[in-house]
Amino acid sequence: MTGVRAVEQWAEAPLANFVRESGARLSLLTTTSGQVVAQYGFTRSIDVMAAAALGAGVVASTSLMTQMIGEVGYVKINNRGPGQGIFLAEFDTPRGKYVILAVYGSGSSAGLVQLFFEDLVEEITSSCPAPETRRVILAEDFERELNDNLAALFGRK
Amino acid sequence: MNDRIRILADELANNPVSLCFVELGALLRKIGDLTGAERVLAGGVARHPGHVEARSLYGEVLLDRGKLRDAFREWSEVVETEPRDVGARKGLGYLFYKGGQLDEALEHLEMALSIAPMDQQVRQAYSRIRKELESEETAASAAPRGAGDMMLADSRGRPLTGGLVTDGRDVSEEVAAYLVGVSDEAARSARMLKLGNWIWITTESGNGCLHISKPTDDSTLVLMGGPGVRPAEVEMRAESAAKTAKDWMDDSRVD
Amino acid sequence: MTAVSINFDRLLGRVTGIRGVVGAVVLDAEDGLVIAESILGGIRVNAVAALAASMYRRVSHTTKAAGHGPPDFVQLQAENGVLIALPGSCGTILAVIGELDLNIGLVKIELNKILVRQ
Repeated sequence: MTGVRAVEQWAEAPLANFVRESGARLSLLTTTSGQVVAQYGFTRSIDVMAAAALGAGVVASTSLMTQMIGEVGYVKINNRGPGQGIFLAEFDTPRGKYVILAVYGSGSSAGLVQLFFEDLVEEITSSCPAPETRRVILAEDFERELNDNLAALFGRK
Repeated sequence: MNDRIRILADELANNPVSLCFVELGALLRKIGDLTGAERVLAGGVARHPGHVEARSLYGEVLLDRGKLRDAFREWSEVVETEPRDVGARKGLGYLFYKGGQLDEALEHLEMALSIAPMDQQVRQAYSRIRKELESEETAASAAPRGAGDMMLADSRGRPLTGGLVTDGRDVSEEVAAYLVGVSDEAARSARMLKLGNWIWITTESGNGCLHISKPTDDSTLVLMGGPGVRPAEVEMRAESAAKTAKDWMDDSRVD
Repeated sequence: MTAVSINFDRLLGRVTGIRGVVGAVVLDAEDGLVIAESILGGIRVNAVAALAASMYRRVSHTTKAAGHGPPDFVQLQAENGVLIALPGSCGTILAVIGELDLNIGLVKIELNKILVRQ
């Protein structure tokens, strides 16, 4: 048991390795629009949804700001508090851009999280399947998919 | 059997000093009426304190009832009166074994064997305790022990043998708990930095040095040197201690 | 280039000048991030920093539990080389990667000289 809950199975092993090696207490892999792909450590769906939305929002706004000042590259943010730190980064894969959020405590460090983030990107890049063709999402499909995904993320599926 | 119990109970009721209490106690024990057996034997033994067989049986019933202290007292008194009572010797051997006093247990069983050399129960118990005692002695001589400066810990952060003492305080458990993390990190660092398998770690602080190594996959050895001790000296001691620790771990696994 | 980075560059230059030293990194002890480095190719610099900081932190827990206080010198001996970590000033650690036959005694003397002069 890795403790990782994944909507997309290809994300489970890379996220589990990342969490184990980096010592992250919580971790969330989402698309840049905040759709959750896999999570570790969250116990309430409302926290997952909020963290996913906030993470995607922070990455989007930071990305825009860096563009405004003429910088290019992927967003990578680390915030260290007295007890815990947050690492938030976007990265590219053949399937598109993804966002990783990790919360770590005193047993880990920004260095460890960043080091194993590099490995995570490599693993995901090599394990994720080719992108799906985009389809129109209807309102009822959206709600059903959202509920299915939440059920998968919290082990009720 | 119940008829016999009834007859003996009637006889004892009519004649309280009858020696039939021994048979009655034994039968009650046999059918699982331990409370009844204890009551009958307690009464009989009080009236016939010199009845060695009854007292030996009474000890067994007390043991069955979980009254280890009372059983011990009873059997001790029996062997004082009759040193050749096999039942009491067996009982005392068992109680000492339960208490971890293997030498004493063996002494009583040796005596029991000298009286009843063909008693299979005694023979089995004797050989088992003998073996345990031998492996304990081997471990004691082979295990890395220092005057509080050497410890072998398992892979789950628990001290296995030896111990660490600093300023009169036993720090073994605390150190053992942290060793797992050190060992894991050493393995990961060596692997990721392409240094191969890690062999040992040495640390130097104002108050002394530590030498940490892994004699086997499931153990960690730590040696501690005080302020005046040179790290190289600790390292040399650690090498031979690691060999001993490995042998000790291998022996422990076989047993 | 700032005065601080010039100092680190000098320090790293002297350390990597010691025979058998493959590379050296000055890192932030708490974050495990690289401050300055001089490493030969083939080794991930951020891995040296993150792992050396984690190693030093875990070893510190052990030495403190043993009543020794934080370590002044940590050496990880492996089959193919050594990793050394020494605490520096202002919450830094100097991590040194060396070859298997690195003369530890000489490294200690040189590092002491260097750290005293810094």
